[in-house]
Amino acid sequence: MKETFLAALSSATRNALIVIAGFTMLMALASSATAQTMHFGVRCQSTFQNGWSVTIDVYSACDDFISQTTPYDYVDFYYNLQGAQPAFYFGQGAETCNSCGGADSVDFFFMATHGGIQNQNSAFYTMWDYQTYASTPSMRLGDSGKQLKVLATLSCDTFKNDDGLLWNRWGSAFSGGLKIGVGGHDLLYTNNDTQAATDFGSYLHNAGTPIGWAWLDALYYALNNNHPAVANTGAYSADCWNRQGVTLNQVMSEPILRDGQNGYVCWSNWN
Amino acid sequence: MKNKNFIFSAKAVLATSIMITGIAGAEELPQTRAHEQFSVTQGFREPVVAELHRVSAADQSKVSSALIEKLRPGSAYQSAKQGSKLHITGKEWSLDVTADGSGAEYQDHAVGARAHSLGKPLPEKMSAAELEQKGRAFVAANLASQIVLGLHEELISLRADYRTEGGHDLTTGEITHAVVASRIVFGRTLHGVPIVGNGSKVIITFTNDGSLESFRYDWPKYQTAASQKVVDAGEILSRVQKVIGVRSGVTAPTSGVTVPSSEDEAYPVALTPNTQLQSLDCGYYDASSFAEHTTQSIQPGCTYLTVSQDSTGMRAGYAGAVPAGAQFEQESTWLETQILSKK
Repeated sequence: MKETFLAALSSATRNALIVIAGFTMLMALASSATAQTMHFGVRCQSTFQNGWSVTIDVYSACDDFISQTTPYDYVDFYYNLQGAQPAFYFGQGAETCNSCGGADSVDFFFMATHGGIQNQNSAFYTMWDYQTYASTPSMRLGDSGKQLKVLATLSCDTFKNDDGLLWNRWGSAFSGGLKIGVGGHDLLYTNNDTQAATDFGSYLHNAGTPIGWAWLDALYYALNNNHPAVANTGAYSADCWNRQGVTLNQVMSEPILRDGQNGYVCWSNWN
Repeated sequence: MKNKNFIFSAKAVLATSIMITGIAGAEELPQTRAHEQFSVTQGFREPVVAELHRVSAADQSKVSSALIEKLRPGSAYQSAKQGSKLHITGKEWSLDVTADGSGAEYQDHAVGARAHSLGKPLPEKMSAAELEQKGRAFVAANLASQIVLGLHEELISLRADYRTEGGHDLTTGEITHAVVASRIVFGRTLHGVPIVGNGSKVIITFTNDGSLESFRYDWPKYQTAASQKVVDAGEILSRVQKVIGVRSGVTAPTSGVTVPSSEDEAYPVALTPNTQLQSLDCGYYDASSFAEHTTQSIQPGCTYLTVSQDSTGMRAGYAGAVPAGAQFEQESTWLETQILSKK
């Protein structure tokens, strides 16, 4: 039903909105949240223009992640990835525009789509639009607008690190001050079951659970063959590892590190 | 709008000094791989397999009390319902018990927090044999009331997995790696037939000093129900092929899938020109009590992992399970039974 809805919208607007039923009601539920309440943005894409890339069923997972989040935090938007490339690119107006689904218009950005690595210097996420990608060298996350703190991407390969080139691919994105990124260092399988996204949302809001740990175990427990990864920066080694232990409650007050303030990048993987 | 141009040609090696010491990765145990090879070449050993029913194991409050008594005796804690789970938190630890009492997850945040400081070089990781031994000892000492084996049931080790870390000093260019935690996964067989899927699993994580960091299990009691005649490996592969065609939006080829003739060269199996089957594991399919939609009826089925790769090298992984019964029951929460029921 959702895909039919999407298809109808796709001809009407470049930036079609997936509005979940009862979205307004869910926002109302979030109104009781505390001062630490974060603003989340969610963008997901299952099908691609004229089938240029294979279908993946991620909408159910995104729905469930939102269900786990709205009791505690604001979910500002839930969009697909039509015409979305500028929403990731530094200097583009859409990047900081909340109604455009901009990455830097929220504190926590959750995305599900295809991903990969392009070469030694770039990781990318596929947009709905034909052969269009959002590539990490054009990103500088956390530097403007609401200054994104956490990027969570249910996508394959983008956090590949066994070749020692993670920083080559992600240095630009992290240099804006992004505090934590989570994704896949190899394959993350799509499954009928939405357990991974549900558990991630649930773990995130358990007191004392680090964001990275929430991701690693949610993805692993959903399917032991998954390859989840978390990456972040620090001024130096010990600082980096301390910052990897940050929880959702702590990430807002974690100091921002930009450009040369980043002296170390560290990552953890399962499998 | 910027289009992406892939560059696969080798480029100059980075100027930075990179010391990559190898990746620990996952370790699928030999018996697990052997069963996957058997599954893709033979399917099931017997032509008829019983259906099972999950039976509610225990009251979740009693399960949580029993586990806390073992793991955190005398410890203060708070409990609350979190969805259908019972969520319990103490000082730097938490415990969740599923609605039917058959599943639980425990995390020691304090142990997890010190895992990094106990990191070891990758070649010094805990061996699978050592992990299995530690895991079995832990189950015997702490989970004996929950991990109960029925008649003709066995606890078997399936895989050893490792949490690895890497760090890159952006000033010196030095890259270091370490293994910081190790995980053993156990499963169950009934009359020699494994339970596949996330049901009937015990997953235990240790840090390098041998401390328990976490565990998660789903361990229901099963009752045997009516039997199903199961299809052969060729039909199972055809079902996987059809399912992947529907899930990926790519029309499956009219030609069938060739069943590998040799277990030694079983994988990968070409399902379509761009999609390969990485593994197939046949048995009783149980999604577990942690799944969003648990079913009480457990039918014969085969879990699969496939990966498709387009001309640019971009990959997509699909996981799931196909029913293996010649006449299977359609489940509203089991996508593949719905896809395969459509003519």
